[in-house]
Amino acid sequence: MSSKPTSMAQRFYLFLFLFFVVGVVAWGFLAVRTSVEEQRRGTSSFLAESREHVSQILASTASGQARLMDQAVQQLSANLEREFEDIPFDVFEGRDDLLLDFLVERLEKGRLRNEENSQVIAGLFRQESIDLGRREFDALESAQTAAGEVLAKSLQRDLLLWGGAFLAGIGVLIGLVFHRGVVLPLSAATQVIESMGAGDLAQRIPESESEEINKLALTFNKMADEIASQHRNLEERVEQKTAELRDSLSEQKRTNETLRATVDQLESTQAQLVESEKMAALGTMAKGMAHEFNNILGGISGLAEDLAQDVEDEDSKQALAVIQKTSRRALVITENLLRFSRGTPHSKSQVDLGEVVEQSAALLEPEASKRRIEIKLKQRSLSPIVTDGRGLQQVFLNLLINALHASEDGVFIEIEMMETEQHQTVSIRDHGRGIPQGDLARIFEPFFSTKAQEDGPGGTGLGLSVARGIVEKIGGTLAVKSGGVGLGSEFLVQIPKEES
Amino acid sequence: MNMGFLISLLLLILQGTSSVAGQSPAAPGKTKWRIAVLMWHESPNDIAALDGLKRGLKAMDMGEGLVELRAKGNEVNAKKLLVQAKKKGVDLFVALGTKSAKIIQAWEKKIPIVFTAVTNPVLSDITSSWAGSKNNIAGNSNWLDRKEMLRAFRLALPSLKNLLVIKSPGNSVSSAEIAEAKKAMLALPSLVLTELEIRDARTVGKTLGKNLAGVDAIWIPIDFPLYQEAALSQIVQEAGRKRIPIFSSTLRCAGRGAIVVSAVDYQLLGLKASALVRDILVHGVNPGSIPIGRMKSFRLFVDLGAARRINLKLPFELILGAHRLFGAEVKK
Repeated sequence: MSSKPTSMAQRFYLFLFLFFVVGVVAWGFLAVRTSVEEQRRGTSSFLAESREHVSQILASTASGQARLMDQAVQQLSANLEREFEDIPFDVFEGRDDLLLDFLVERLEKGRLRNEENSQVIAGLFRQESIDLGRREFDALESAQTAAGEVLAKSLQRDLLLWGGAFLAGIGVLIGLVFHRGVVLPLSAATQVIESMGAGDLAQRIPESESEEINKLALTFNKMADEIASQHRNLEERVEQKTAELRDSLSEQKRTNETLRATVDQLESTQAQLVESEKMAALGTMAKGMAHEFNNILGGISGLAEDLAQDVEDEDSKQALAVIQKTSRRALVITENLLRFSRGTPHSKSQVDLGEVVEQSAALLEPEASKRRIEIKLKQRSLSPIVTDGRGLQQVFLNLLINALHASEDGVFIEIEMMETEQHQTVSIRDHGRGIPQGDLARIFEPFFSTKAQEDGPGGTGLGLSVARGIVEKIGGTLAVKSGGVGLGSEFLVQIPKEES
Repeated sequence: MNMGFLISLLLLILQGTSSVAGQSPAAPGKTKWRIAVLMWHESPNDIAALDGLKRGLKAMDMGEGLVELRAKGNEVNAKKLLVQAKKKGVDLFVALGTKSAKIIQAWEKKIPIVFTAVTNPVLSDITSSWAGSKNNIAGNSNWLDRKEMLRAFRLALPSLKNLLVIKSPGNSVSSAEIAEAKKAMLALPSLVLTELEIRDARTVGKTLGKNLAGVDAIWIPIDFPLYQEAALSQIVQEAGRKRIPIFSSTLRCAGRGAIVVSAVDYQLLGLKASALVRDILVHGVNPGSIPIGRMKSFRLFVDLGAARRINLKLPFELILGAHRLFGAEVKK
């Protein structure tokens, strides 16, 4: 754009002025031309209609007059004819003078009467003609009024039509000028601003023909230059700070990892220490109690045996048998306590884990049969491994006893065996009362039991604790799963394989 | 009026009568006749008829012995006058109007009687037939074709459907008229004629006022008590109040409130009666063999003022046919 920009306001006012002048001139021209033309047409139509109406009035009056005259003559002739028929002329035979008098008198009376009647009829006819003319002119006036209204409407419609078209044209022209002078530059400016908003600070508003828009563009572009300069400085500073932060964060991350490893180690050590202390205390207490109870129970059992050989009556014998049985059970408990306190001796040998499981199940078969519980053993040939066979038998016995205790009569217990390259796994699953979710974490703690105090070695809360101790001693794991109360339990014994 | 046409017609008639007069035989012997005329009342019709009668008798040189017996509406008086006249010697009685004819017919059976202006002599028991009485009475009737009359009424009021006719009890004239109108109505089926008997003409307005519901027009027939001034003014007032047009068949109502009056020329009736008198007395014709005469012409009297007062616009056809117009407002 090489030409000098002009003021938009000036152009707008110029357009308004031109619109006013052209509008007034065009409107006036149209109004005058249409009015004159319509008036000429209306006058011509009015004259034509008037001529037609006047002709009709004259024709109607003339024909009416002629018709009435004709009627009058006919009526009078008919009346006269009938009257003459009624006159007995022979009465006047030879007295023509009297007949003449009579007739002349009647005719004279008739003439006078007819003159009066004629005047009346003429008056009535005149009035009728006047009324007819008035009616016709009223009709003409109505028609003229209606025609005038039609003309007025036509004129109004034409003026509105032409005026509307003119205004629409001017509106389009102004719209075009406005679009070119204001909308397009503003649209371009908006695009530039949006681009800058999106980060493209190199965009600038182009120059415009409009002085106002041009001024706006120059101001904006100057501001954009400043923003771009500040933005560049800011970016440099941000990059510098970002690099510093990145270094600091890396160092911090390393420090955190070291700290987390230290904390984990400390927590593990602390847990081990707590567990060791706890187990040591329990072992000491259990060992002392077991020695004392073992001696006492040995005495009770020996005496009961001796007495059983001496007594004769059956009641006493049964009572002594109960004492002996109870004593033996107590001895088993103390044995367990001692084993727990001492820890089971780790004697490894080559073992067929399938056989160990089968033997354990066979030992409990009588008890299971009595309660109609089927122990389903999914036998699978496992490779022999070197491990603590006796300890594992104790483990499987404890788990199966627990399963039997948890099960209702008439159900079944499933035993399944699996083998991988590193491990052999035995799963013992019952469909009994299950374990509450809250108790799963404590199930292997010493003296923790979910059962009521019942008969049997598990009732002390040491069975699972002992079993876990045995399994962990040989490098395996003992895990438990339960869906919850009433949904049964599954214990998984995983044993590492060693070279035989 | 085409005067030339009328004068030509008149000359032709005069020529004709001259030849008839030459052939007419003169009555042998007697030239003076005593003729007694009974006039029941002084109605315009009877006065006109008397005038016609006198003119005819005069033309025939029979008017000298004419005696007028004016009963003034009194039957006793009428009979008394008749007796007196008969004592003095009467060659022929003339009865003007139905009432007079009935009185004389009941009283005199030998002397010839000529009646005129009797509406319907058969229905009034004056003669047994329109063809002739077969006794001592002959005459003519103001009989008017009631169909023409009703047509004239309807011409004045095209919407006419319910026509109320008023009458006095036992009035033989109006009864005869109404009977004729009923016959004529057979040709006008859309017209309904309702009769209203007025027992006391002095309170006719009140009686009429109670019986005007649904009435399109009132017909006053030839009924003496009802067209008297006192009764007529009441009728006109009551009808005007309800904007109901009045039609009539008596000349008395013409120009007195009736919009259309249809009537015959009673002067001609009297004239025709004089011819009958001559035929009986001079030519010796038996009265019982003479057919009852009827009029061919009738006259319409139109009151424009009365029509204007009730906003009734009358057609030109009716106005042009009018014998006389009343109440016109001529604007010049």
